[in-house]
Amino acid sequence: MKINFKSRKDKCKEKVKLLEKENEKLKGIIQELSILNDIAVAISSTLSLEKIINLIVDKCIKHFEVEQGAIMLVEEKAKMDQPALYTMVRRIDQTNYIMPFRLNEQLIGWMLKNTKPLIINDFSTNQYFQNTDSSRFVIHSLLAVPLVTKNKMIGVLALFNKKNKKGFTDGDQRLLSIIATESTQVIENARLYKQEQEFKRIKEELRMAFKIQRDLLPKELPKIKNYEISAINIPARSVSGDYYDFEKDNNLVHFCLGDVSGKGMPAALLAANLQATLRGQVLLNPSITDTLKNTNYILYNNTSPEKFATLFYGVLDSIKNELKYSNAGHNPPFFVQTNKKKIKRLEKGGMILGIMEDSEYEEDTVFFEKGDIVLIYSDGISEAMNEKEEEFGEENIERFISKVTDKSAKEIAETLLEEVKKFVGKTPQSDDMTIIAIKRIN
Amino acid sequence: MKIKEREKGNVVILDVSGKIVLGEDINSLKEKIDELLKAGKKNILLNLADVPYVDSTGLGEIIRAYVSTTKNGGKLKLLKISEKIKDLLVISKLITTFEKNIFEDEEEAVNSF
Repeated sequence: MKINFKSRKDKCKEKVKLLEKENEKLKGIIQELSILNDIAVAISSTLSLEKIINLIVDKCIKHFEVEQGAIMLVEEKAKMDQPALYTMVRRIDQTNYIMPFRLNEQLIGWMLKNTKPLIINDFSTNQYFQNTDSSRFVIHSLLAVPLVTKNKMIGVLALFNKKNKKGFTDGDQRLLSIIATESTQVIENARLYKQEQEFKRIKEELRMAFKIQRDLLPKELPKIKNYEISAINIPARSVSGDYYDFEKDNNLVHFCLGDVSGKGMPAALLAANLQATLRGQVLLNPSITDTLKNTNYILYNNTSPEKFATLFYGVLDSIKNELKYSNAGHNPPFFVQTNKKKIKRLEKGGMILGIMEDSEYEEDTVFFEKGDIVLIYSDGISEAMNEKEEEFGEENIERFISKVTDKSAKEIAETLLEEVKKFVGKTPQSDDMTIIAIKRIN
Repeated sequence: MKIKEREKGNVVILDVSGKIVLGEDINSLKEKIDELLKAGKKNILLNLADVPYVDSTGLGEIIRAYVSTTKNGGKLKLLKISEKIKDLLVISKLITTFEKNIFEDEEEAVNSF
């Protein structure tokens, strides 16, 4: 009887032990579930990348009982041929200690190569990772898992120095991997969101730059007796490196078409500079040739040598019916003498602006009769390209202009643009397009 | 745009091939020339025989190359330029600057330095 009793007692003890073990296991699972739940709830409440990363790291540090946790995000660099494609962009420390730099580099390198979880509980026997850094923070154990989405590793979630002496377990690794899987897409989304915000800001700046530039163009074209004036400017990007300007002074109209090298924002800034410089010169009222000479000198000294501009500058006298002009390396405009059935190119002038410090410029004068037209354009028109990589070309412009002499200045500018658009078809516009048409109507 | 470098006597010949137009590699010509100037190689011949197309931005690059070579006490000359490049030089009125530095024959170009 005694023996039986003892065996029953033993059996009871065993059962209790088993139950306790099960209980422990369940407790563990509940803890695991609760941290997963905590993370899920926390990260769904914010879109901020910093907050999401902070939350995940904080929860992990508490749950796994470690000294330090970090999420490192990798970022592709602009140059694809560089071996070090990635840099760390975020790290969070629980303490003031800083992770040894070399270990950090080693870890990212290893992860990029292997993309699998890593546990190190003893650095002295590990051949890949050497904790040789002489910083104050000594790492004795490490658990790291990759953050992978769509076959791309976007970062590493790493924990350092388990507070108990046993180090990280397989269970820790399994749970951290689950956390990593759950977090990756959220982190990636937050990162994309952040990028999008940044992109939006840049876009807004561009929109403002576009508006400023539009405001620099004459709000309305001058109206002068016996003449029609029309102008169009279509930037290839948000902002333009081409510009035109008009300034009326009694019976005189000063006007120009300038084309700055390059495109987009850098070209637009230089175009604004050129416009201000030229306007300053025109105010001082020197001769046409001196205006260009001085503008060239100022531009040369204010910009790097590879920046240059072509400029056609003219002064139309509506009483004398004459156009005085000087052409600084710009595509020569067409002067169409409708009644005489002649076409002249307005070439007289000098070198493009901003290349040589002391360029000299010449001027020429042409006389308008009724029906005569001057057509000025930028190389975005003559070099507009179709799918076969053929240029619209000056011959086409010449052919066009000789057929439309009966049309108004506005119609001429608009139909030329239509012709060019028809020619290029679906090929995207690669350069700024500007047209000025001036016609004597009486 | 691709650039191959070779030397003949005291002249570095850069065989450029492909279009010189606005794009990602537009800086490579300037970078190459800066590299040569830094290394004290100041006689540079730009062979443009295999450049089918240059737009005005491309012309800007050739000018950049010319300006920085001249500023650093070097000489930059052009070999076998296309009609299109010639047209661009005429329009921009740079032709007077380049005139004596444009060659059709490599031998003659190399000997002119």
